[in-house]
Amino acid sequence: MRSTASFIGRLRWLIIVPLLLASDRPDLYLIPLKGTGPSSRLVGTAKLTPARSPFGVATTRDGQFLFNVDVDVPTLPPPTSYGPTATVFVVWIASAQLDRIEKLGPLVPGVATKGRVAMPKFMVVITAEPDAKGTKWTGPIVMRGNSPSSYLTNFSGHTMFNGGVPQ
Amino acid sequence: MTIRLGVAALILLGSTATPLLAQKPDSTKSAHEHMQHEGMNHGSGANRMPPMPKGMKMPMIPGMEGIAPKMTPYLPGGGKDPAEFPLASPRKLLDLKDGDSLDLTAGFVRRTLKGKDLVMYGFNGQYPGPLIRVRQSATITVRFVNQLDFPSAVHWHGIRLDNQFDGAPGVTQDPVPVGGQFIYRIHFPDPGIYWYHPHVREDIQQDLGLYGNMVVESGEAGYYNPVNDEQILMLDDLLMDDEGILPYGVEAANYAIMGRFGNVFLVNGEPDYTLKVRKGEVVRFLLTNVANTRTFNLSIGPNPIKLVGADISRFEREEMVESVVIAPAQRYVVEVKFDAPGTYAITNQVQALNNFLGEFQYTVDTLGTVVVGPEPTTRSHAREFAALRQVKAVSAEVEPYRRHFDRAPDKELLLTVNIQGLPITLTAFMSVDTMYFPPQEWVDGMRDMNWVATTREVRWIMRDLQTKKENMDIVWDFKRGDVIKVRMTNDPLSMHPMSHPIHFHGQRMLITARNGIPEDNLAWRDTILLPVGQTVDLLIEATNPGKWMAHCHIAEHLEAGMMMVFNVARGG
Repeated sequence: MRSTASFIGRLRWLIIVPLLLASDRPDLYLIPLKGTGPSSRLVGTAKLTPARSPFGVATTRDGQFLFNVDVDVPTLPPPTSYGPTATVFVVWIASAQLDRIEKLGPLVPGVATKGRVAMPKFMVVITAEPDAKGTKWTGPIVMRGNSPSSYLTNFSGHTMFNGGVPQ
Repeated sequence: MTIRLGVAALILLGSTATPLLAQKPDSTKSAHEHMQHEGMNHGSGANRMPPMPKGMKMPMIPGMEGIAPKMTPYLPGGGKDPAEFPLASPRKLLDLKDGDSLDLTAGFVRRTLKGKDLVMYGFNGQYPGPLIRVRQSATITVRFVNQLDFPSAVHWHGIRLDNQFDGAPGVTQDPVPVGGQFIYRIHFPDPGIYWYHPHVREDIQQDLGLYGNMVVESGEAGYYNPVNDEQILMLDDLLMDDEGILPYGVEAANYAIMGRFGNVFLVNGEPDYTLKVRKGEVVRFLLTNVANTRTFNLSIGPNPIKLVGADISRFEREEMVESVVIAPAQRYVVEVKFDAPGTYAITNQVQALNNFLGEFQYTVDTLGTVVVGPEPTTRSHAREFAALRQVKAVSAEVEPYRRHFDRAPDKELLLTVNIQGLPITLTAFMSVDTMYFPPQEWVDGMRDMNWVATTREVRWIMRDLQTKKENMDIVWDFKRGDVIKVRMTNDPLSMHPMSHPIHFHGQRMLITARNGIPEDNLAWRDTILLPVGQTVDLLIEATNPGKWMAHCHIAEHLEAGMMMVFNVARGG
């Protein structure tokens, strides 16, 4: 009986592994931005490039990777379509835990907003704001995307660690 | 029915002991197979799983129970009492003049680390090996004697010497057998900081202490800035548990995926390096990373760091940096100014990836200490430190090569990996773990997989994209005077992409662009770091005739085949 269970246990890996290997992986340096709610048809990108470093790997003293980020959204409706006080779109970088929020800058459709990011996992968030002076967003979230590092999984809850087969 | 399924299950279980698919024979082994275990004393030490990196917890992967790497464990000394071996001593400085000779013997030594008496290796009974200091253009003769328990040879890393003395068995010489000797004649054309190490089973021999520095002094006055002190540091890590050093593999290197990350940090072979300076002093550090696989992100408290030089030359312009990212085999020359009294740790600060939790963990390793006393320096170099020099000599030397920067590459390499034959649960875990890889992995965050993977299952690959040849099947032919543009890409879609420090023997090279963006501060190098997903353009100046190696300097990747050969013909 135990041999049967062992066989079935191993057989499922023979099925799982090729499926996993064949699946698409996200781009390591390109974040697709997606519209939220009524803006769900909007698309854009945040392109990451390693920041310049004489060592080839750009890091801070505490080991955070430094990336240049170019946020590009080809078309957006007028900011006022997100509220009467909205006059500008602003790009933000937020840590996965939302304990750090940094303003990248105002966004003009078709013109890349450029900045720098040094966080292990982060979100790119575009909001509609009354102005671009604030240090935290106040307006509605128009678009968002997750850093490729966000795909890192906590395996303690993963199906394969709990006797199941990943779907 | 149960019996039939049981037989089938046994067959599947058997698949964990033999490769699922036949691996292509590794042609690189023809160069390295004779390097292995001639007279090596086997079977010393159990095949123990290493401890997790500091601050990390991770359960054993399902299905790992009872699985161990497929190699015979090896530790030096054959289980003898370490007291039978001579106690190692700190390195000695050897000032050698043009025409001088040196006897260099690789043998067993006794060290005490973490309270454990250990049998390790040493050159001339020292840790690290003797520090050789010569003047630029000097030539010395070294009589190398092998008193280890398996063959060896000495490679003079970064030195553009005569090919026959490069110390690369299988390419430039036969390995030096146990009890044998080899005479090296070493000419030093370039000033800077260099190092020597075996080119046989580096994962064992280098890791156990066979490495030493060479400082080549320039004849040019003011080659470096004036400083109060100069320190020559070799950075290393050693993998230990409560019983001592974790075993190596006899027939195959273990830790073949990520390399062997250590957990005891050593500066010049010492776990407690300390430097005392006065307030306001500027210290020049000549750094060499001799670890098997670890790239360090080095800093000394908040003290400002000025980057001055790389492997073979100074940079075109000095620049301030937050930290120094130094990969295996690389060297950097930096200056640090200590303004405020206090005790500053020399740290390796990284965001360590815990592959199980899928999280980055801030980790600080301490390599040593700098104590800044309250008394001020008697001679301040603050003004020179504040000035960032433009080094016109380097720019002038680079200038003739700039016309090659924008042209199409002559050669293109893809760096990738082929992993087959690991236990299937591990392969499954690795497959779901491959959704993201950072540009640089700082720690071994997947201990089980890396430990069990040997060079039987893992084949690291340099692939020529024009000929489709791989590793030692690649033989590039150049002639002296050629300037070769090489484009290398580190495949981000492989099973487990890793950054690679790639070393070209016998020549010097420039990094002209990364990801198509021109480099704006050049220095001559022999080893470049290629992070995951990056593409780098190199310009190799082929001036030194002979048959040379190029390879990844992660010791376990080298053992897993990641090497190739190029010829430089003498020409007309």
